[in-house]
Amino acid sequence: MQAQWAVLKRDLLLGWRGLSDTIAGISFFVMIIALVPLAVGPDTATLTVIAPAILWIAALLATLPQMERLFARDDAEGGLDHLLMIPAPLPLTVLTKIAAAWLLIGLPLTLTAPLLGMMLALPLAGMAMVMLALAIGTFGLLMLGMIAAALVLGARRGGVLIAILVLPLAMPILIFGVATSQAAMLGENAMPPFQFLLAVVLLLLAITPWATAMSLRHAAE
Amino acid sequence: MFDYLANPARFQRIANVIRPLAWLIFIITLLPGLYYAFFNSPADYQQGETVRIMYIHVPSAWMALMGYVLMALMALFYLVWKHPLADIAARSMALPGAAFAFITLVTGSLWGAPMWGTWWVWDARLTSMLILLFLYIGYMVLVDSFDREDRGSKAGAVLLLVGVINIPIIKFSVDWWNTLHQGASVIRVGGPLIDASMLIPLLLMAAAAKWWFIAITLIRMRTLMGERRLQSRLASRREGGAHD
Repeated sequence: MQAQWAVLKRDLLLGWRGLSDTIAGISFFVMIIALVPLAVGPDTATLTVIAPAILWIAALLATLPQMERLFARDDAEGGLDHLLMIPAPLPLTVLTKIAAAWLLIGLPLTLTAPLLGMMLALPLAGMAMVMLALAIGTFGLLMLGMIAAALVLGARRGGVLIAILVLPLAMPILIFGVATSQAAMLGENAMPPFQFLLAVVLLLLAITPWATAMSLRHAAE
Repeated sequence: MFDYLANPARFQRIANVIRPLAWLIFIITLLPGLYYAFFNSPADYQQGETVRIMYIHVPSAWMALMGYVLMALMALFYLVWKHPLADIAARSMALPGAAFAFITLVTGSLWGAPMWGTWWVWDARLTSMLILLFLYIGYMVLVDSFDREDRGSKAGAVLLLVGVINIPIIKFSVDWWNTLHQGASVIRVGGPLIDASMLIPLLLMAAAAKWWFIAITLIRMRTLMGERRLQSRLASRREGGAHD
């Protein structure tokens, strides 16, 4: 447990020292959202309809570039070998790293969302539900990102490859996330899609730490 | 049985027998299949002659799905028993599997143009087949991205296992999202809904697709094994040269 705490503290500290990464991620998120009215037109009625979808696509795109760094730095600086030597189950350590990554990008994205929602003329009433869905959805996305980041360690290409691997697997999160948000916005019952979103993320929780740990071991061989 | 087949030389001997046999069965099922499909089966009372696209479309879709599942099975064998032959098999199946997914999309689109009045609709089955094609592409790009070949194999194997667990979920979520496709009509509770005059050419074509897949996979496996042997020969010669 102590080791997990140390890993979490280290990752958060590194994130804090290199805060520009998080800032860049959030700025990217905001910029994608700002592009939409410019491309679609400033008509608020149209924007309200597509806003939940845009929020989710922007969140997905904004987490993608963060994924590449999840293990790349540990690998380059030798920290990866130390992670593997921690006398605790490796999947647990992976989970700790996902939590740290979520605090560094998922949480800030979730907290920025209401602001952007207002810019897209979303009613504030359902916003709490949208934020909850985004918080859980980004956690799921980061779990997929962890697998992809571990798989591409040592590969000739990084960023695009991660996107190709993550995006098809991210479809269920996108579908149920958008459906939850839309239902919440319209004041309908958001529980059915939200529960599916939860189910998908829980299933990922049962798979990804082990798959990631396995490919980290392969990468370190 | 796997231990028995795991010997590459023995596998090659067996494959050498199966390969021509696979081509033979392919031809034997393809020719009557095509004959029935194009000339000796009824046109659909609603779809007219376009129903004949189904005889290519449906077997391709079956093979695209089966190909991925087989690859995942090979990935499991590779990760558990660490035998390179399973990895070679998975790599060999990727391209024909992706080709079947692509053919499914193209024929579906050709059929959709007169039937649904549009080349592409965001229908659940079309979309999941598209995602399956993306999964194939992801695997092929991933295994080819490493300088160390075994690293690519292992990464690819883990991806296949994660992918195969996710396929039902993707399928479900996309179904939930939207569907206007034909329901299942061959494998369903209470027997096939489809008439025998259409079922026979469909099954013949499905068998042809299957045996083509087997033949192509075996050819690609032989090529990959030869390539690896060549690489190791070259490597040992280079080492030998260093001693001179």
